[in-house]
Amino acid sequence: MSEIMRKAVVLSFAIPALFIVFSYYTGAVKSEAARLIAWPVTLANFSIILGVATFTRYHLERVTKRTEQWPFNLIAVASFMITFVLALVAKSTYDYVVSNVVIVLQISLMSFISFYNFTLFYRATRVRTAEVGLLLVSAILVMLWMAPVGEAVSPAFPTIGKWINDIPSGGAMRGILIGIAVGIIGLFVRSLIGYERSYVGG
Amino acid sequence: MSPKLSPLNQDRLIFIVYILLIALPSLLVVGLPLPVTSLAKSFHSTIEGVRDRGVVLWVTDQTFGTWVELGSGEIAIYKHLFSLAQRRGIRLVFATTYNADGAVLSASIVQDHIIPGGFAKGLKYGENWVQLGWLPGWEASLRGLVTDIHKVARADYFGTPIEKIPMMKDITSVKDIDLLGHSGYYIDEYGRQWGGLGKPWVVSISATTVAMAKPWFEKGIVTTYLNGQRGCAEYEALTGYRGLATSAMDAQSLGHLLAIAILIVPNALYLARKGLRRSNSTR
Repeated sequence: MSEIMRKAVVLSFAIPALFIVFSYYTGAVKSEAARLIAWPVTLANFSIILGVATFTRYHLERVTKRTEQWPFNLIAVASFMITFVLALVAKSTYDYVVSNVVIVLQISLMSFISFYNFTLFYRATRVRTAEVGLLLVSAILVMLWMAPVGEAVSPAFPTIGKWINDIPSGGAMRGILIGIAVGIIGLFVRSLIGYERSYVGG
Repeated sequence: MSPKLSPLNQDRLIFIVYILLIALPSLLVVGLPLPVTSLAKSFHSTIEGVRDRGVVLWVTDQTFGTWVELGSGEIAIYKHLFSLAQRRGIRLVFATTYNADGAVLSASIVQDHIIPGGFAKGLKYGENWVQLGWLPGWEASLRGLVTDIHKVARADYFGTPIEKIPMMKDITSVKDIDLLGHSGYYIDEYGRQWGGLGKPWVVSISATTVAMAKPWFEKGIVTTYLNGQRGCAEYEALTGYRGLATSAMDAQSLGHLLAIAILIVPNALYLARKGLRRSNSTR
């Protein structure tokens, strides 16, 4: 991309952004700003088309080249196509497939994480330093706060667990949040003045 | 000398004990008491506090993954909202911005729980509630929902143009909305787009990310929140719509106890061995 083109792209982002900021702080041209805000929603719709095209091309390429484990690529494309067609022509069957296959599979997959967590607890948490010990004690107290059994054992557990969540953890989260906000403002200003051009390959 | 378990068998043993422990409450109800926290009470009262004929914008931004934890609470929230629609004419706008999962789940709640449960009796789609479906764009869609709904949602979940939906004629932006709410894994994105609008905003958030809700809550931007599955169980208790979250509480307690045991026992053995080694070397 030529330097002029890059500048043009940067400007094309900066002008609508400034327009929205202007509307936000002044309260003027609200309707036009709302229209601009709706643009990314339209763009996001196009990104789905792009995603579908990339997904299909990637998997079909692997199938045609007979790469390792290509039958799985074929299953991925076939599953997508079948679900897509069902959504268009047989809504009730599509709903059945989503409720009884997609949701169930996704939930089962997520549930595996808890098993890995237990293995992780067993293998990766050895109190080799005082800091690890502190982390471990905090984790135990927060778990006793989250589960009803904590309060059944001692009313002190929920109080301590809540304190850990509210004060040390809450403070850290506040810091992270402020850091993110400052970062976003910095990125926005850099984009506006043309310093941030990584998204146009600059 | 006792035979030592291989790492694979150690994992298997942990998994078997875990499965047995979480299955136990389905056979034997322990029924540990579940105190309802002020956050859940406030969540309930904030929803109850919506004026008659008021408008609630509820964004179901859950994935199938978070559904395991927050799904049951979401069903209770929908039931509560629909019961308010029946009793006090509150109008409900449901949308999804994060990904398509939320729209599917939202539709399935209405189809599988609300309509068969009689919560939509006397209500009419398009007049009392509307499902906008998935509005791709996440933060942009969240902002669009409060600046101009008609510009970001051209049609509802079923493809009906938004201008043909009667109740949407006088619902255009945040000025027409009385309560904002969302459920899911994240909060910062919502705070950035919904913060400072001066409307009550309630959140049902995963326990994994609940600490993120704290700064927003402290500043009064988030009115109140439900803390993961436990918060959902408390809310189920408050509304009386008991579901999976309530029954999962015993399993959660036993699962957490196992996690604590797995954290403590190997560490106690590790420290004991370390102490023994040290005392042997000093001798």
